[in-house]
Amino acid sequence: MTTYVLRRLLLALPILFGILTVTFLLFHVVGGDPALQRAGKYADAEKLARIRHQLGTDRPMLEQYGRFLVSSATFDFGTSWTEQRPVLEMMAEGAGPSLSLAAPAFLLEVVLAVSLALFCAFFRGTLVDRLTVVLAVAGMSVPGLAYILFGQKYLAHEWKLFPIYGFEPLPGGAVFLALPALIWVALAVGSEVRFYRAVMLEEMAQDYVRTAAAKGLPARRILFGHVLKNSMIQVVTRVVISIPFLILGSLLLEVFFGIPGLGNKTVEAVNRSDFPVVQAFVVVGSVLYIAFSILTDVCYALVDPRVRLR
Amino acid sequence: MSCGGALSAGPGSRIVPPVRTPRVLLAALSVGAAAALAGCGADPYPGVPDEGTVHAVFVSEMNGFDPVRSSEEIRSLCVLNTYDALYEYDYLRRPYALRPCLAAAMPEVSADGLVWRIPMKRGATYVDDPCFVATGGKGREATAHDVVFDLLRLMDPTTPTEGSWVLEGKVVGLDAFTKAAGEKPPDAARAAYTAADGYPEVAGLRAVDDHTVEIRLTQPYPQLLWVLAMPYTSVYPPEAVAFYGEEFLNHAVGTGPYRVAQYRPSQRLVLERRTGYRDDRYPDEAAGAEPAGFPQVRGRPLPLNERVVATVIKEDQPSWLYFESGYADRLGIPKDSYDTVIDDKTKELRPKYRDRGVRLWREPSMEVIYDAFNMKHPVVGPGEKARAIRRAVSLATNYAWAIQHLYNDRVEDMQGPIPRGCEEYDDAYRNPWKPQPGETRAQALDRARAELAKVGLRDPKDIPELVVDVLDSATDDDHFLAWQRDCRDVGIRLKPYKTTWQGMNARVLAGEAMVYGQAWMADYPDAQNFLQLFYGPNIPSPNGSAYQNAAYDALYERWAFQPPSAERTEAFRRLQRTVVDEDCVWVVRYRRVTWYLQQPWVAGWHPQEISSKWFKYMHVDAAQRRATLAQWNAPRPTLLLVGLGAFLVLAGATVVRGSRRTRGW
Amino acid sequence: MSADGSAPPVAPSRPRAAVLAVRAFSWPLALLALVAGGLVRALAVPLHALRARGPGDEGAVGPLRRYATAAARWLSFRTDRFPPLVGRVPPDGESPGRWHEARRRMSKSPVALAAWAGIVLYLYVGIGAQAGWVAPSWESSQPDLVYARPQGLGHEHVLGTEQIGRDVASLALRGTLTALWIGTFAALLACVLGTVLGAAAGYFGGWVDALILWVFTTIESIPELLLLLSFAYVLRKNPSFSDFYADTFLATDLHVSVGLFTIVLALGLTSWTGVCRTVRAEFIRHRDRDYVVAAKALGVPTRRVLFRHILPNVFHLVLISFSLIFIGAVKSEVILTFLGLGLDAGEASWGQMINHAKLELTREPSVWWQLGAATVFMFGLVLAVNLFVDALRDALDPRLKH
Repeated sequence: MTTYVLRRLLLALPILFGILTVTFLLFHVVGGDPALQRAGKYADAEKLARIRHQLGTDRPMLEQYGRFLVSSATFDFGTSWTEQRPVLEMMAEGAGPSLSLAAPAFLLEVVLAVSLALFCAFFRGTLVDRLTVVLAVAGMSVPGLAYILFGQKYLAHEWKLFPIYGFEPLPGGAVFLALPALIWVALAVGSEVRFYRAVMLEEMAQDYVRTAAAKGLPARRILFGHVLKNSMIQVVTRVVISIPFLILGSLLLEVFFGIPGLGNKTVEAVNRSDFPVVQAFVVVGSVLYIAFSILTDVCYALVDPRVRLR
Repeated sequence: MSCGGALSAGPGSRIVPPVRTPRVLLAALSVGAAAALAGCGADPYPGVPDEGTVHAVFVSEMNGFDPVRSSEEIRSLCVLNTYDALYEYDYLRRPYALRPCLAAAMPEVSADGLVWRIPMKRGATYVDDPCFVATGGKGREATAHDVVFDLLRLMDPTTPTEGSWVLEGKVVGLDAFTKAAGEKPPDAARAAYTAADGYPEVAGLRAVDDHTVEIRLTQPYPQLLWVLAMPYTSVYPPEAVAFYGEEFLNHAVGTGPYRVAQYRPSQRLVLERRTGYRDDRYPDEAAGAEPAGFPQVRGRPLPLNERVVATVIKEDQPSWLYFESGYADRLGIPKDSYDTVIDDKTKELRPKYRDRGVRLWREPSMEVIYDAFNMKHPVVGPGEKARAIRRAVSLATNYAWAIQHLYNDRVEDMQGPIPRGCEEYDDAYRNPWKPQPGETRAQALDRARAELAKVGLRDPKDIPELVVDVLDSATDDDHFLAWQRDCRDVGIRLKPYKTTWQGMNARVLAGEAMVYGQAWMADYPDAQNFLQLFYGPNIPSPNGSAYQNAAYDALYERWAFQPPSAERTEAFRRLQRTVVDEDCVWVVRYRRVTWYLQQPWVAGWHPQEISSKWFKYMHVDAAQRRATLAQWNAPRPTLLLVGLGAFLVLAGATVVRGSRRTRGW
Repeated sequence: MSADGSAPPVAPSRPRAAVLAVRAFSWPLALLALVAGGLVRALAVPLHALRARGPGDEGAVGPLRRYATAAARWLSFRTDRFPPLVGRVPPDGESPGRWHEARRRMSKSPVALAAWAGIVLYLYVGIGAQAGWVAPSWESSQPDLVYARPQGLGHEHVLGTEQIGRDVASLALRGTLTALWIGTFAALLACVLGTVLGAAAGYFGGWVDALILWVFTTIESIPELLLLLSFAYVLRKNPSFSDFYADTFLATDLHVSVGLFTIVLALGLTSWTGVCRTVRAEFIRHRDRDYVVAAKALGVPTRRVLFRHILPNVFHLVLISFSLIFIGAVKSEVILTFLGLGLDAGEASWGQMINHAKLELTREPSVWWQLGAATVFMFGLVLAVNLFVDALRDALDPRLKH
């Protein structure tokens, strides 16, 4: 397994290189000019030139590319152009809020989805099953913004069930996260239920299930002892591979509920052409993604002894 | 997440035996729901003491407190409320006037207007901060040397300064300093302002003694007084810059009434009242409308509150709901909440809010919103035909409709670039290229067509299409669409060019934009600040319409930097007529009128649009607020419970019926 | 569950309502009713399972189901081509008659039929809008009718008007066209790109595979939203791109605006990786099968082997990906608009309508109709495609039979 992980890590290098190149091209060569943002109301050519010089955006492209590669490789993203703070500090600050919304919401979503999927699998083909599936699909067909707007207006404001807006660190801030988390679950649970239901049905079509049923094993044992356990590999895969996205946060929810997470910060950075921040987000996000995809494979092997990694 | 666990445990674990499912499911779900309702209160300020706390809303993310970078609205607000400058706007005087802040008195100006001496207050100390290494963190007194350092730093091009224009070309020796400083190797940090690496002497800017600043000007510059009240010229100690370097941006080391207790840029700012604040008092006289509770607060020592908690809310819907629930003490009405609050006929508060004791303020801004034509662009710039097109566009624009429907009366019509409140404002002036009083829209359109016909543009096919820069936002889209519709009435076609704010500015600077919309907010209440937008040497910024007229420039130069006088007024009005009546460089639109709402428990607050230094003037009656909120914000779970109940019955029923049809394995 | 009781009266009265609506020159509403009818059916038809009490007994919902089937057949023109899918039976006999079997199974599923009917309906609206038959005057606005409430059937503004006095129903219908453009072309672009690259990578292997694998892993590793944002941003804010685009036939002949094209391009270029991965895996599975080896031995050109022999066997996966990308694209438009990267002013899209509503809901009285109309329209389309994909997947995957 160690060899496998090492090999994957080595393979990740060219991918990282590709990511860096794409990022650089997108934002440096064709993106907006950060100098304009900083020059303010009385911008003139001289002032702009000076700011470009300070930021280093007037150097030759190749030189900038070289610097960019080096700084990314050493995880030295410098300071934000608009906030004058170390970018990594800003990221660390944003990851907490993002996670404190995403982690519980995601957990809830997975638990709910797996339970519903089991439920559907048990009652497969009946009205309950179909109704659940249709409801799940309907739930995911409503645009996210509509959920947020209606939720904020009615659940929070009219009925006073949740705070309208705001954020506090957990555990004290749990009330603030309740509504966004609820909306998150409503948005996401549909596709998850569908996915896990398919997984479970596939599992239930296996011969061993039929054998177990023929032997007269109670349904509960079959469902929880075999089907759920064997579907777990898919669940784990899906969960692990989602973690980087959880850290990066949910953009719409964060903006509308004032959660100072990474999604919020990303949009802000793109709007202000704050290149060091965007660069750091892309690089760290991608590294996380690669790391977790390796971890997924390792999890495969750990959960299912039949899988061997070479 | 107490709400979730119980909810989801239900269906999964209770499948077998199926017949008993509904009851257990129901029980599990009700427990979950009860827990959810008990746990989810609605107070947005847990852990912050309520007594003496002002709740404010910021509409955009904060980005620091560096005075030299305070061109942005929100940063200027943060700077103004934590720092002091030499002067400040008298809170209640209209038209705007200044009063000494860190200065002890108004400046002594020499007869030729070139030498200014400003005495400073004694005993105004900085807030305690780790940067005062020598005193172990205790804030020292602010001195004239600090003022000189701060102004030099403002003019140092290697700092991220945004305000150097305020002194450019005005002070003896300062331009040479700027040039020399700019030639030093770029060092973004440039934090080491120690004695050795300090700034060189500048002849026109020096501290006579610890408490007197002297400024020598190259030409008279009466606007300097306003400048000394701007956030750019706030006073801070060199130690702070040296200590924090680039990070200075994120620390407020001023002589203001607060210290920063919590600063989370995208979320929240908490300012706590500090110890050792100088003697500062609420004004004794109110010029116009009295603030609530004026008799109680007049002459009281400032600040009137213990702390200010400001929450960043970028979207309109949540910020409005925040105010409505009483979590914000003051708010400008967002566009689409207008009808909620204001009765369209009387233009007053609706009974619901009046009965609550909410108070409404209407405060016009010192600004002009306009659409500029690029005077160098072949289509709309030089020549008779282009001028006719400009005039026709200006005449065809349906201002009244836009004011009513797009702005919901939150703007006021403007005739020329000089706004009300300036000495030179002319109340009788009428822009000939806007509908006149009593003129119907049809008549205005006829006039527009006549203008076009005069230069032979009778057939709409002969009129070139105008490309308008439109910013990315729903409201900008609406404005464009309405304008497009208006202009279609006289056969002029408008085409959108979608861009960002930055992109538009770049296009304006490069002279690429043809027509673009802009708002110019006054830096200080002097008409010169507006008339400079047409001054030839100011192309491309701030003269973005690239208007060039030798006669205009000459007259402007003669009077721009003179103290107000009858001749100056006459000259400025002539300048206004030149750019509007003759050349119609802009479609002059409106200026904003902010409709502020103030909760019943607020006293002392008064809107002031030229400078957002208001934190210290607001008093809140926390007891009243607590009582009122308890009444407003009791949870109303009935509807939810009904919904939940219906869902449970449904779920139960389906489970029962479904399970009957369950097949074997 | 009272739906089974109330369902039968719906069936006979519905066509009459449609006719009335057309007579009243407000057939946008008729279309809406049709969509709504499809939805009701999609939700109500499974009740059949409740009511049918044995073989041959169709239960109370029987007539409804027959009606849905007939409608779907009529809408798809040819009864023998439902759903009208392409594909040839592969010569290796791996899955003989897969499409035939799927078609048979789907035409028996009421949900699939209703979903298909819904999709076809949206297509009709889209084609009609492109041709100028549906919502012909969507651009015109009435300055004196701002935020008019929905006036109901038979009136000029069935769903009311919006902030500058345009008709909400017309905008929503016109928005259908935009959504279809975005969804179809983004998905098409992604699928063509993904299939070609995936096929090449899977079939040839070696360095071709390594290169393509590298490209798509790279793209996949960048957080999707960031990539989408940057693509859209870069294309949108680059004047030379707009200038280049203005001369292409898309802009001059089809009047596809640069904003729309940018969105399609950005969405297409960021969502092809999933297709590529799937197709590559399938091609690897198939490239050593007997029928491929035989074709190669017979000297069939490589291009033909790839696209005529192997592709039909994996085409169902591409089709499913297509639908999923379609849904994703339609939904992404809202987010792009929210971020200011949407269409130009003066175009109609659901994203613009929903985005605008973030300001309107708190008005008094609340302006919900613009948000409502766009949400319902979008909901209908996404739901129909979603259900259709589900049915398709079930029908194509025999293992999921129970």
